[in-house]
Amino acid sequence: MRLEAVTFSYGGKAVLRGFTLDLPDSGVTALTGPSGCGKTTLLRLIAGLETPQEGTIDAPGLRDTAFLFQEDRLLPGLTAASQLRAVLPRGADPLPWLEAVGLAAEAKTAVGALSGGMRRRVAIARAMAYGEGRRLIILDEPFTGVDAENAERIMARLRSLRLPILMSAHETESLALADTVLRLSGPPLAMLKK
Amino acid sequence: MRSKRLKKFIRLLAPALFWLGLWVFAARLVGQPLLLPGPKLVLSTLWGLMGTAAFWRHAAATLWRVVSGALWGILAGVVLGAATHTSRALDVLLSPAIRVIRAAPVVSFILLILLWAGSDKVPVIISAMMVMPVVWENLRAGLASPGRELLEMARSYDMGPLRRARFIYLPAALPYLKSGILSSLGLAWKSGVAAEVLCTPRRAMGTQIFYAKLYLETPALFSWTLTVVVLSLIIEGLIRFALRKKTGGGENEA
Repeated sequence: MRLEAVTFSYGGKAVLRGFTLDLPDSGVTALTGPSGCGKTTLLRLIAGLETPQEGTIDAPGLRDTAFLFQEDRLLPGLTAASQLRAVLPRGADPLPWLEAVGLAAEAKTAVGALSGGMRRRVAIARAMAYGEGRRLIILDEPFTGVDAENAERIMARLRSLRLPILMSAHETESLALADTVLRLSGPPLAMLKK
Repeated sequence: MRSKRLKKFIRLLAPALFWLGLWVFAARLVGQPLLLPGPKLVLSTLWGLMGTAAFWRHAAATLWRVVSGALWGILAGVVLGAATHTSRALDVLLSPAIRVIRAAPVVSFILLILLWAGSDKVPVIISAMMVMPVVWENLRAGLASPGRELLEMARSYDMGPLRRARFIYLPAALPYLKSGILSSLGLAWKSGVAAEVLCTPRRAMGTQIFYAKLYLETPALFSWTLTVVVLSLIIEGLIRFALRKKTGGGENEA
């Protein structure tokens, strides 16, 4: 995956200006940097949720990417299992995915009744379930509110999908789960060091 | 627990006793049953009416008209709400007309429709016309409620129109629809009975209200009105119960 001379402005502010980056095609890559430096914008551009004003992006595209948003974006009023049914192929069982995030017992619980950390894990399970068979998984601050033990277990299951994983993270624990850590600054976004 | 129940009972009973007391007091003050009959006279008149087969036939006919009118109105409101939400062209075409129906005086519609339809059908059409805009408006608000972020999530997870309808729009619209249906039921009764008063179908509580007014049978007028109110409350209670089961108070399993 590669970004070449990408420029992207939002609300008149340049978030990326002629930004070039090569990303590993396998393993877990973490992007880290101060809040507001442009990590989320970079992830959205790679996913295909945003289109750059200049430059090119060589990535699988939105249809082949599972994207975990920084906000949970769960469907209000529905159960944990229904969150996954909404994105899984018809008839597919959501339970193994909820088991992978330690929430099998909460499958029939409405998400409004779950804690913040549990809701985050449901969102991760949804991205994971959707990601199976695709070409890229992008996780925007996946482990906010998730304890270290669960984060490790989830990452192990994510790795078993054998897909390149790109994530943004703040916490040292999350960064420790990655194979490669890219340190960024901005805006406009710039690479500090690998 | 017991004192909680007692408190609830008092909370329900106290206002009823207050208004009943006020009614008794006002009736005694006026002193003319022709102008304001007391509750005792109204209840004894109602009891007398209930002993006749005609009472039940009139009540059943009105109930049927109002309920079928409300159901047609709900159906039309749902279809039009979905249509105007999904099609910009239909929105531009239909929304002003629906707003006109909502704003126009109901009496004008009653008299106009009486020229085109039989007196039996007018209350049904009028009830439907009063219910439809309320359901339409509420459904539109419900369908517009999922935010940009949720729709972007649906796009990124490649959710097709059917999945969006089932997992996003339906759960979002149901509470609005429920509220629209409940608030429009009172309108269905008011407008349906008003249409009966003006159109005087052979069997109708509205017709009996009209005759009661014509022959200055004020206790009978009160009795029929009381019957309308009680029937309206029963139907609203039944629908509220059915909708609560259906939507599970917003946190439903899907």
